[in-house]
Amino acid sequence: MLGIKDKVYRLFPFLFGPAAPRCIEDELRFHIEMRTQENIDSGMAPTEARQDAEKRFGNLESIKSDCLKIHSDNQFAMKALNCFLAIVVAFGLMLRLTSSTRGIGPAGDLIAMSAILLRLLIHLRLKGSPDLEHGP
Amino acid sequence: MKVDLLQGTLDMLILKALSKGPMHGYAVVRWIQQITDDVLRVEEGSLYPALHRLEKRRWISSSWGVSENNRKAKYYKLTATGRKQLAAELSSWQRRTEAITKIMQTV
Repeated sequence: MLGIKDKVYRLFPFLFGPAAPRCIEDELRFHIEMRTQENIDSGMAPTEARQDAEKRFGNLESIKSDCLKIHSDNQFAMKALNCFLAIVVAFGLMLRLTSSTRGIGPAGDLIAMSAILLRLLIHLRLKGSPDLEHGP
Repeated sequence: MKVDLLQGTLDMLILKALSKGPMHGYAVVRWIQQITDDVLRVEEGSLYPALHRLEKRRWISSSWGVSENNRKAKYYKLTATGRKQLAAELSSWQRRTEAITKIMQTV
């Protein structure tokens, strides 16, 4: 069953930071599973096939960590951008909710919507980039 | 007999593999093993930091797709910059191997 965070993530993925760790893990596990299947197809027992695949692959955690380090600069920039846009959205909504002067409220809406739209555009532009956005 | 891959050559082999068309990481490893009759020994996992590094340099790009066995897989392909880089690396590699061959052929 999905947690609240997962549900919100599915609805509004652009509000979250990059999902690179999960993306990298999926990619590495795919490799191990392909090798395991190939071993099984060539006659190995499933347990032996898995062990051989893991041995050939090397240290999964260390490799995952190396991949993450390569993208760490981009991740930091993305986190900073997310943080900034979240503040802009919050400011816009606060303006909308607290303003009593006519004309200020819609401006708050506009600010919040612009920030959300900008983040959405960035999300679409970076779709498929493993270091910043997760894939399918 | 199996031999370890020379340092610095993995990037070139990846670029060469991807010049054949988009592939996922596992297919790159299988391609290298098949072409070299399993002589070159690559720790399979070491391929991935190399792939990610090459992608960061924009020599290759990636996208998620569906593999031959209907699994979600990340496919890499060579970019135009990567193709130029491959040509440069091939040229450099040929010069180096020719130089070493000359040395080894001396009596």
